Amino acid sequence: MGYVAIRVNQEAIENAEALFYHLRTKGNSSAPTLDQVAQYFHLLVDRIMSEGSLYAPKLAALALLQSAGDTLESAFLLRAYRSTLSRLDYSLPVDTRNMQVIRRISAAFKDLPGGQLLGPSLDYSLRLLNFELLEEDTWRRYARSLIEGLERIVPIPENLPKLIDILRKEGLVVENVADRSFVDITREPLSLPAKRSAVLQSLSRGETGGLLLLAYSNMRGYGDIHPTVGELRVGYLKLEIPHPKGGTICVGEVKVTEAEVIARFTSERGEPRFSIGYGLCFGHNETKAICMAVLDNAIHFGTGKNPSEDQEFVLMHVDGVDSMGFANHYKLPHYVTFQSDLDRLRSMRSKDGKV
Amino acid sequence: MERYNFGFLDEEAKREIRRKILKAVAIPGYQVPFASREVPLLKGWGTGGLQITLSLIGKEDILKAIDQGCDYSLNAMNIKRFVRAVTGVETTTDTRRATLIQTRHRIPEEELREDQILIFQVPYPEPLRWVKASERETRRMHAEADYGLMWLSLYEDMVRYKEVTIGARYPVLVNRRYIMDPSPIPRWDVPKLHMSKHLNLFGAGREKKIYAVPPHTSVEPLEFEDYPFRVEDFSGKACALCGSSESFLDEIVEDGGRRTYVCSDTDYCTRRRQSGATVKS
Amino acid sequence: MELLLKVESLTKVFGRGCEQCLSLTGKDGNRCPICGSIVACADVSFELHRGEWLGILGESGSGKSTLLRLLNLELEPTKGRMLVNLEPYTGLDLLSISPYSRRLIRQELFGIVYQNPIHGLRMEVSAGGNVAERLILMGERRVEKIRERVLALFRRLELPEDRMDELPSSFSGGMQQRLQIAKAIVNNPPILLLDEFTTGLDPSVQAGVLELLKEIMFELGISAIVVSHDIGVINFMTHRVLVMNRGRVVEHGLTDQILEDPQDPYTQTLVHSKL
Repeated sequence: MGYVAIRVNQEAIENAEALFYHLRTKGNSSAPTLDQVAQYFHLLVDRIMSEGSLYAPKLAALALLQSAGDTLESAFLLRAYRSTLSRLDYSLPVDTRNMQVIRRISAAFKDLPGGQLLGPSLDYSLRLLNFELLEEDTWRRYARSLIEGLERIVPIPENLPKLIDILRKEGLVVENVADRSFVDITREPLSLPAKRSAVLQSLSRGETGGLLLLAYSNMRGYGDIHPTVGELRVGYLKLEIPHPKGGTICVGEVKVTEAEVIARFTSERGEPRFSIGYGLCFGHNETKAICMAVLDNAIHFGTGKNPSEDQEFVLMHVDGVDSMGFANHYKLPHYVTFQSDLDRLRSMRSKDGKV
Repeated sequence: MERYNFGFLDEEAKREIRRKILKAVAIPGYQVPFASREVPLLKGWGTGGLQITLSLIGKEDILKAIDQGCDYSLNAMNIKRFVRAVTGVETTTDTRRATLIQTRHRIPEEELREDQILIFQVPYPEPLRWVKASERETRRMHAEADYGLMWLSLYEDMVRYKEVTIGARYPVLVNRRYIMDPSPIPRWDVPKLHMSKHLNLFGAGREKKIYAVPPHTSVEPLEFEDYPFRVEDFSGKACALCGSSESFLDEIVEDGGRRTYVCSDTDYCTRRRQSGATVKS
Repeated sequence: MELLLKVESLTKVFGRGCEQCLSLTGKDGNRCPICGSIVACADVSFELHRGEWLGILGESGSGKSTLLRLLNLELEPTKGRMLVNLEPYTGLDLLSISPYSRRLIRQELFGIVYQNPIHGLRMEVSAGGNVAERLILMGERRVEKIRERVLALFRRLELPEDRMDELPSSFSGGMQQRLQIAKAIVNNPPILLLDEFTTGLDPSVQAGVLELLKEIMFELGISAIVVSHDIGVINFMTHRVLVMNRGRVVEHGLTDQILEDPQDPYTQTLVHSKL
């Protein structure tokens, strides 16, 4: 009989897994250490932490190694690990004015109090493959060139004034403070319309490519934000929790990227003012922070007519773990549902030969 | 796996899910939103069902998992492997022995008992989604029982095709109140939900919803009297292994295009063969 | 005549609203000078009797369409009651019930025809399906019966039977309005709401639709609330009329009398400008 039992035994699953890992041993190089991954691919690690919504560089590096560099899978590994951890406490709200900045730019003014601080960036470099990087000591030469010949080091101030505050003082900004109450989207289901805190959380752990796609559609014309990057900051934030005996205690610091985008003016409440979009994500990921800010603004101040302005549309589709899983689930067998569809199709055709 | 809590999820998460299950049981067919957690299974691969299983399972439970009716499919095997690893509970293929049955796309052929719970993996919890894309809108429609558009889609099918075009995932009215998606089970299985003795729980992880059909609850497929609901037609066909002509059959395409039919419920088929059933020639 | 519906102090303020909204609007405009809210409809009270056709006359912005949407239970009022005198709902305030009951009762009691067919018809559903929806929602589960009823209405409203299964978007304006009427009366509701339903039509088509509708309303003995800015329509279709301006009822009475001899200065301008 020709019937082949559709059975997958345990061994087959394990072999498939083993074969996947085997592929990376085909070359001669030894496995990079977690430190090496975290150090050489820090932007990638940052992206994984942000989308995985867990700040843990070593674990993110492990996830990358394990998934052979698949960002969606890596973020998912972090998320699944996160589910097993008890929520011990919430850190206190952080004022990002106190960020220990390593990069800070504004596109709105030529110069601003505190100055433009380029920090680490390839933004202004030519996109030419740099074959010098193949040589062993190139990295060190870069490091030396940075320090040699320096006459003095000017420390970056602990808190730089925010551009938005300056505009705010002049009354040029409309605040998006419809709702300041806080929900934790990892502990409560998202209810629509979502509160702003839920919107920001959902965007902040959204998939970078997904945010980019939606924000780009808005900037390009399916929407009317013509964003000006008011301020973009990369730096470190200290996280504190309340101490049981009073006062607060610092539990660590996280690297974040923050974007404040000035959008077209609105006259929603009285005289025309600029509306602001806000973006903040774990790690150094400027594309994501800017796109998040654009979407935050589009959702709140947009017409609701374009996909990127429709809160439900944006929030329901930006999560990489959700969308990647679902897209892949179609690989699972669907032969029972297909049988059911076949039955309908045959029946319809027999009733009316032309359908 | 010693690093993980019994049942993988932290206790707070399990408690929340159990509360949501209770609510779902109290309002049959109503989709209760819950804060779905990530589990080590891809979204869309049964994460909703799995979270229900993990929240309910105790040391004494015996778990069965099926996909397309089959105990040995990749998805079912994987789920059993994982639950065993994080709980140490026994798993089985025997429908009669299981206390919890997690399923994708089928209800076992044998009638379940009061002491068994059937847990469905649900990809699309919203039965109205294909007539209305927006979640805000569909929630309002359920609240008001604004089901005109849904019924019209069936009416339009009738006008156009003289038959409802829905294959699997046939919409049902639960307890004469909420229209519910029974998950992508074939129509064959829909009548088994009506006044069932067992508890049915539905989990949609990605869409973050839990819903239920409690025991002895009415579940009616949406139908017109003069175009009655009908299940898949296997008349004149029987299982090539056990000879059953009373079960849902998988159609197998053989070399040369010839078709063979076998039971989709592998446990049912195996047991029939063990008790001496054979193919009538 | 038997009382059917009693509307008391129906009020709708769009915006934040404040204590002064009602007292500071009405004369010069309907935007509150204190809080900026719009008073679309203020303290409207009236009664509707069985078989009676009541007109609501006003220019655009007078609040008459808001009033109709309130009556159709589509909008949440700021204030007011709407009491039914019809078994089994006698004494029930339709504005105090849950959205669920509201929908059930609305589909039983009211049929509505909108000015713009986009609001009244589901353009993605066949013309027959549009008419059928109410019947199905009211529990009719026999396709044959549904189609019989739809067909009868198509005939009565002079709609082409052979286009029953086509999408309404391919229908002419006049046909779309007649389709809306079929949809509104399919389950014989006691009250018909008409919102500027001939405004978009050519004058010749308009006359035909009005004539036909009047005949049908007479046959059914249905009560109606007819909202229009068109004095001709009000004159032709209604027994009594409320005249609205800036969200207020400025005058009410028998249609003949009011159009013959308007008392309120606003009504006077309205009537004289048209005649």
